[in-house]
Amino acid sequence: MYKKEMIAMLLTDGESKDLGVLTLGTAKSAVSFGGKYRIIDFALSNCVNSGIDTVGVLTQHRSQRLNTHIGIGIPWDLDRNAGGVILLPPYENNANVNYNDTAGGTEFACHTGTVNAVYQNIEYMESFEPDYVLILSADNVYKMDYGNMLAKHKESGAGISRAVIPAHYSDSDTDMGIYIFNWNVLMDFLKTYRDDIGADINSCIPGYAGENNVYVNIYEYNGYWKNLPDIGAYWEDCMELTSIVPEFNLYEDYWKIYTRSESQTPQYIAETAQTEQCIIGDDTDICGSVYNSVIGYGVTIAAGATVSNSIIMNNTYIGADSRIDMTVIGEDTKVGSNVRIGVNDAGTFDIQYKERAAERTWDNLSARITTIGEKSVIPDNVSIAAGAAVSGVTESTDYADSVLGSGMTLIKAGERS
Amino acid sequence: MRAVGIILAGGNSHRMKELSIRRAVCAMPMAGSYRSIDFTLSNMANAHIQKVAVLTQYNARSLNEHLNSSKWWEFSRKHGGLYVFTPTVTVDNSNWYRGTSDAMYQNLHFLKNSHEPYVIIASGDCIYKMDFNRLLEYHIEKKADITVVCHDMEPGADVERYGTIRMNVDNRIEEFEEKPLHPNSSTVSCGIYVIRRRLLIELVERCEEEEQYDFVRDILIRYKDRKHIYGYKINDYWKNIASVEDYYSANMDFLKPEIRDYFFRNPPGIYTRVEDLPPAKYNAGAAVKNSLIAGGCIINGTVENSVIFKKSYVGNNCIIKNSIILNDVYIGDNSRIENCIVESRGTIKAGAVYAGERDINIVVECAERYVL
Repeated sequence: MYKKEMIAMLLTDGESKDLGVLTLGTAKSAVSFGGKYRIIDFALSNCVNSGIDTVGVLTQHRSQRLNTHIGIGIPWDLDRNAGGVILLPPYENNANVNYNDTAGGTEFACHTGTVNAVYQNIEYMESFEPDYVLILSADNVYKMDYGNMLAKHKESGAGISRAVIPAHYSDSDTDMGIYIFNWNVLMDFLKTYRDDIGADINSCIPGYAGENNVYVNIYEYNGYWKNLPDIGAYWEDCMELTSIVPEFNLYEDYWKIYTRSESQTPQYIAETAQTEQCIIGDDTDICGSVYNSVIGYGVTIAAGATVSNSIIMNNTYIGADSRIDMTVIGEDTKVGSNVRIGVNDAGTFDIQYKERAAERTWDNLSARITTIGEKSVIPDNVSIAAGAAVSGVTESTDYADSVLGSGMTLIKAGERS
Repeated sequence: MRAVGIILAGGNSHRMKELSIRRAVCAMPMAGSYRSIDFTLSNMANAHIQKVAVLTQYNARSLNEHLNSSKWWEFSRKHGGLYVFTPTVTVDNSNWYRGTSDAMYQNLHFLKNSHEPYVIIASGDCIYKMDFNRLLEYHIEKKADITVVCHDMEPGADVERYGTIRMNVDNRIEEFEEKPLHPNSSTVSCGIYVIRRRLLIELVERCEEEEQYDFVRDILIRYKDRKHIYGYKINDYWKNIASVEDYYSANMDFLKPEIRDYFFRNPPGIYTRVEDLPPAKYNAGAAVKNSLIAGGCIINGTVENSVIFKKSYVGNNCIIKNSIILNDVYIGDNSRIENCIVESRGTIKAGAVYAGERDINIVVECAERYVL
């Protein structure tokens, strides 16, 4: 193998439930963001744009979508002869002392925490003889040059660097989940905490640094950074992209964000359509009205349908005459015709739809937003109230009086049609 | 697949008017986010042709940029690949390609070093979807020496710039006229041929000895009676874009759902270079009707019955109607553009008015643009 100065280890949280039904069957890092991207694209593109060409992606549960998305890394130019991107699922090995003890049998060497996850991949990291290892979360949206962080790390002579959003943006410094370790420090660090169930890199650093007299450099970052802790934050940060000059600019050639695009076909906006204050992905067919919304690729919105203040992810179909407001709909979902989702009061809807909900202040935004999980089916003529959640192939018999009440959750497991 | 592919992409056409200044016809942007050559390249890829040569000559910069990687069409394989051949000066040759036959002669090593028994030759300036495997089966079944793909034009269509064909009941070609003034057939050659590789080498070499250089005139027409030359009709959509009118109407065809479904939704697909553009954005005041909008566009005004290519910007209160806006065009506020083709990377100043009357206006505006 070739020596690399710095390699990156991307942590994906397969068990995150931050985004409700959207993360029911998918790792958070694989959830769509901003019309055509997935959350992991930002960290991966940052790596590539920072000149890091060796990236290990640590996956665990529900990683199928992530695996398909990353593949051999072609969209990020990470299909390399030496290095490139590689998926690192947990594996069983005698050296892995931490087994998830389930029902009496040691079955599978799941990562018990971020320290253990990285520890399990020492062999992979060793093969590149890196001087530094960048460990970062794949669940955030931002553009950042890790090269600058490395330069500061070297300059400071630190053993560990961690990136933070400085306190003047919130009550205290916010840890960004981005760390640079010197190789020797990392080895010692991992060996110290490898057996601690659930040990987390962030929480172990202060203790380790104090005991071993390792200097930790704090790298302050003042740019755009979002960690999407709940569905409300996810909605707001997506919606912000539709404002006239968004804080997070995807339209500049510098520091491009790369993603796997299934299709390059342009979008068709029909005679019957209206599109204002929205961003729309490729290969979509818009025959209805779309206001203040983020639409992924391959979406069809039938004539007479109105989508406002909502996020519709890839390959979803919205049937004729349906009205959707303040809703997040996952990928590959089929919404029937004449459906109401997230529309509180049908009477006032017409007045409200053009108003930018993103500019209002909300007491509990997450509770207001209706979510529909990926690969769901919503039958014709039903009404799903604000704040409700649906996942799975539902039929009209699942809705009493054709209504799912506010705040209710309907999850249909089992076979998908 | 038992054939290699050759794409003849050297051509220029005065019928493209100002549009041909910038690029070869094959590199013309098509349908919002494609280029003309994508259709032939994708057909070849979909037929699992593994080795394809693109022969270029006239203004190939755009084309070469587009072909910057063969991976977009899945030609980046260990076996075969995508080869771009431009004329080069060698010890025994200092000519440009003097014709299509000469272009193949000058790259005879490509044909001689292949082991596939057949060659599919196609032009890169046509919009169509075709199963080359079925074409090859037909060629073998007919025991043909050469098979020419042809298409019935609508009655009354102007076929003056095509080669016209007349076939007998068995589809053997009896008459082949190149660019006839008084055509007596509305069946035209699509510029797609199947031929055995060894026969092609033989014919091209003989042509060269006789100082003849054109594949159609000096091979097809000349050997029409000597060799078994058959026609194969393509009954689905086929359009050559090498004139402003046809280029315009081919793009407008993609506003029809059945054409889009045929090319883009029904497998196999059409592929193009991936540019990682952000989603298109519609700001307040945007009013788009019956139009195709490609990735990376920002729309603030009215767009009707138009095709807007990648990375274009339409300012506030603009009115764009029945027009084609090529890649990366900036249209300032309050402009009006009707029945126009706006050349790529153009900058239209605020308040400008361009309106074609009966003909399609070609707008080439290279005003300085301030990039923030």
